[in-house]
Amino acid sequence: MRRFLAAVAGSMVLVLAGCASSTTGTGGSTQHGGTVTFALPAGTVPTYISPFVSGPVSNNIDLFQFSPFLWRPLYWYGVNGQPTINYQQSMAGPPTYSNGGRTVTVTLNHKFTWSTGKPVTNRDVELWLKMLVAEKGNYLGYSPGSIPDNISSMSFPAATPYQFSITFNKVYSQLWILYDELSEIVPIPQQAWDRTSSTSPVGNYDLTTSGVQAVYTYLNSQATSESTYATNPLWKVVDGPWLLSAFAPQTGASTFVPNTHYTGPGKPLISRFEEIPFTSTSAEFDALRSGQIDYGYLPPEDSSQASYFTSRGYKVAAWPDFGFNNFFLNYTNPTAGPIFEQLYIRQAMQSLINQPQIATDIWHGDAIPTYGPIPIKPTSSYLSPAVARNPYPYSPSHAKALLVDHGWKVVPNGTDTCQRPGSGSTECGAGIPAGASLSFTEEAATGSAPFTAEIQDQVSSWASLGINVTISQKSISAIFATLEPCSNGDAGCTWQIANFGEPGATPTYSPQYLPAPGPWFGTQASNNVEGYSNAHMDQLIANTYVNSSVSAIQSLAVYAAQQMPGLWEPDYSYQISVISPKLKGALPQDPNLNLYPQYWSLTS
Amino acid sequence: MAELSPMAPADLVVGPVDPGEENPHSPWISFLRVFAENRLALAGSIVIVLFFAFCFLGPVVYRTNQVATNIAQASRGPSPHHLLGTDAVGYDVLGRLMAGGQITLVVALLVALLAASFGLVWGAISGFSGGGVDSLMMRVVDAALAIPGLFLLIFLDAILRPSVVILVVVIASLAWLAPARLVRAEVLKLRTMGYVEAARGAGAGPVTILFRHLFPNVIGTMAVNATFQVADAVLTVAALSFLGLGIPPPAANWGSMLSNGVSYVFAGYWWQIWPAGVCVVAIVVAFNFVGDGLRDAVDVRLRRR
Repeated sequence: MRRFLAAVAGSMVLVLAGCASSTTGTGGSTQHGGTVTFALPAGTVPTYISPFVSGPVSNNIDLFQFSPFLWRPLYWYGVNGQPTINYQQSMAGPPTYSNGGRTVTVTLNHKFTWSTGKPVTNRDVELWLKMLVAEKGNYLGYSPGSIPDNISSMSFPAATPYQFSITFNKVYSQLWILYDELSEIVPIPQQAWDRTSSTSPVGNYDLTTSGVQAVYTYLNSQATSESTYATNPLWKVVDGPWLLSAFAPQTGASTFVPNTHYTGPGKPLISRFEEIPFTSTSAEFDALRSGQIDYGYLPPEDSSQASYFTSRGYKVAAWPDFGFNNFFLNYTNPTAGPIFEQLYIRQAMQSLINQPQIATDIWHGDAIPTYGPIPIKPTSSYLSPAVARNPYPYSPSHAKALLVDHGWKVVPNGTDTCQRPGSGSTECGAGIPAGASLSFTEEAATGSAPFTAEIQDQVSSWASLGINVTISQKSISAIFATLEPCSNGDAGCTWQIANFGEPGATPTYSPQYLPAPGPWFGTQASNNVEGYSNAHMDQLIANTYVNSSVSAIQSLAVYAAQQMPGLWEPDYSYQISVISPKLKGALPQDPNLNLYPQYWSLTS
Repeated sequence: MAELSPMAPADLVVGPVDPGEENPHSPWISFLRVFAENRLALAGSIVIVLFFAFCFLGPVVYRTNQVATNIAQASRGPSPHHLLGTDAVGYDVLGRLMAGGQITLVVALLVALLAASFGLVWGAISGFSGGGVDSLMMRVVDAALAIPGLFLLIFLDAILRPSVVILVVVIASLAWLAPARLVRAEVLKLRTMGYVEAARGAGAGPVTILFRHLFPNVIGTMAVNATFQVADAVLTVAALSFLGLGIPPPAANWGSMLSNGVSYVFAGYWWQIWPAGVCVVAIVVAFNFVGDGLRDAVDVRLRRR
């Protein structure tokens, strides 16, 4: 699987140019200075420091809670807990369009400078874009057909160093360009990074393909050298509010101090910011209880401990991410694929998942039912009434009727078998032979007790109507390693259903912020590990690239919700945050998973 | 040639019996007398019997649904309806202990049987053959023992899809090493005994000597070892399940119950932790006591008292 982060957008309706920062203080007597400790997700540490994030190496922490402290993206998304563009935090103003809409021109804000004192200019954008063109296969956010594949030409005029233009191969939706294409760009310091080795002089290597490839090779080698993160001169040239002052490669612990030359919005108030790694959620929880962590999280199984912290003045707040959660079905599996192709089968299985009850009784309200690709929370203008309601509420009788009506012999707590093969409206469906059984294997993630309880409940519910699902629990990385569509004759491709389950491991709409699930549900899309293919879905996805109306995304969402390329299941919050009473400014939390420690302060 | 006959398997002795020595009691009575003198062994036997009754007969008396979840009743404390409360998906914990115990005990017994049998054959052939065959077979054992056991178990368990059969085979694949060495040492000693030499002189072939003269004399040692193997297998099953590598849900065993319960330790759901933990400890201790008792009982020196 190429990656698990993708697309999306926020609503133009919600776009408020010049709006306030996405984080707000909560009052009280603040003091400058002090150290704030932040708990990293268990088992996850920074692995890549360069903002040209690597597909094979990078993780969510690199993407949202490490690199952006040092290098700011061109455009920033997230306003007061809403997944929308934030021009106040961005390095450029609203893009302008010309050439019939094919050319987009971006003007950089003059106030941003590098820590060397030099301004951030279009040369810094050019280096990043040239590197993307030459090394798109190594970039985490690359999706075939999108940037840079759809670029006809680029212009970085020396006469206007704060401006650049990109001409696309056709007219695209301005919403899509802003939220899915320009959102990828992160200016990087050409004055310091345009080199091919630590001893080579800085040049203009990026102006040739071979030159920029050599630059990438050098930067990539440095970006994975964790022992030099805090000392490498490359990483000292930043335009973000923080500098990395210490990094422990053995543990992944990092310490940031304010970049004293920072000229952007939100100069740090605290004097140190530490990201603390943990090998397990229980270790994190112990540290949290002992007061070693200012900004941590409750493990899902310990959600009942919220009152322990609130009684001590801590703030406990769910951190919902702007994404969705679903099972992955292998449509290319020789046995299960033809069965999953049948919409009525997916509808029957979905009708046996009691999402509201799972969210309440297993996740204790820390998960939100998923009714389609657009999350119910945080709310956005993309959420139409048609997607805000459950298209397939829990109904065993409806599920049974669907199976019986299509020629299946239903054997509760046994195994259903196809009695009427064929492709007619009352038959099992094309490719399903007589006697075929509704018997599958589900690769499910280990680790989280509530998630294990959830899959137990789902399996039990399916079994009640003879849909026999055997659980095979593996680590998330082991499941990821097997998730590819089966090619013809691939005997090793045996997976049928996959379920990651862990909070923080579900699909999230960033750094492509438009909530259009094309990267997952489009034929041949980068995240389409299921081998799902639906011509009408492809048409609707393509429409979101060229139609700037929110309704284009809503139409796609409605169709995807009904079709269920994957079965919907409750989406857990990214984490249940526990915030020290002395820490101010951490709320609301960004649904795009970014952190804003520069706005945090401590009270005495 | 009556003196040269092997001991009957039921004699359960560690060493060869001196045919010239008289025993006032039958071997079985001596065996039982020594075993019964060990109070802990007796207590262990009773505990094991009670556990088997609890796991296999209990569900007949205390009927619960261990198939369908009921999350509306999740994590409820003990009550008249659920004597030991419910777990995270609403299963009755007492009924779950019975169902989980069945798998735990069956896996443990099968592992002990398989490991002891294979170890017996491997060790006996190795010790009886001697020379290059012995060296080669023991180097195989040494090499397998050099691999960290838990690492290998986790590796095998990860690449195979856990089921009762897979779990038995995986655990037994390591468990046979100790009995193999034990048996080999015994056979090395026994093969030089007079009655073996006599049998060989009388024209008995290797297979006959192994099955008629050597196996019966090491069977006692193996019986003792097998009890410890059961205890070890219970712990291994629990450990693998605790690590999430046991038989996947909805099947249960005490290790997975303990693992799931411990996740809720801060929630105060003691009924999801203590009962499974107590079961694991009790059955392991019981099998160890019985093993100690058997060891005493098969020791001919103690029988002569």
